[in-house]
Amino acid sequence: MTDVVATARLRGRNQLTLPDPIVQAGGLEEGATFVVELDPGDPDVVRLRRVRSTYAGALKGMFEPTDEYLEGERSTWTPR
Amino acid sequence: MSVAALEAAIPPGALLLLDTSAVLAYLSGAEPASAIAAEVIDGLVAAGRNPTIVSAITVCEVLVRPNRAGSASAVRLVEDFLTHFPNLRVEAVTLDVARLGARIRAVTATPAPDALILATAVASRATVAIGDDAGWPGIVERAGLPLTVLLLEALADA
Repeated sequence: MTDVVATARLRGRNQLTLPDPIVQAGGLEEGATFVVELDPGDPDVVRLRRVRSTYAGALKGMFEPTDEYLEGERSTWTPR
Repeated sequence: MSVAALEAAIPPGALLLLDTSAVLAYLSGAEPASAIAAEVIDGLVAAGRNPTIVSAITVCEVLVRPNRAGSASAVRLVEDFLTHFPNLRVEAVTLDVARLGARIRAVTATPAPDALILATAVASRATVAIGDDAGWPGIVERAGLPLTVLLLEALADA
């Protein structure tokens, strides 16, 4: 899948408007919250990552059965 | 459980601690406790009715499987949830937490991770701990902790 790329210009008071192609491709809506990351060692790259409104079921299939997973993790604290 | 019943069980404004079991049920979405975990987190926590903490121990426990699976996206998703979800914050295992965890272990012989998570709740002045470990109410009682334990499955059945 081809990345959607667009340009945005930083305006006064650090305001940045997300370009329409980005908003549409991401299905973004007003009120969406983002994590903004910058590595001072690589200041040309600013990462913007959406914070989901819910993470319920976001990792389905990763931990089940969760009780066995957690028991396994905690049992590693038991002396051998 | 209805929203009204859930709100009756959890006082407004009470600082909650989520055990790892609650976080796993929420992220999984496929466990018996998943729906009630989502009602608590997406409802009470997200709305700001109940500010909530998780222990750094929980961060470690939840991140093991995504790391083992080599899934950078899953690791990032977990970290985003635990560090950026509204009204949720991670509490470190400080010296005070370690001291209290030792006292809990001394009295109850509770495994270290459980003791440290419960100690985190008390040190942070959380008043309600939410999880799925049926042993926790007894531990809290024997250790005399000022904490109410709510079990997800009991909440779901209420």
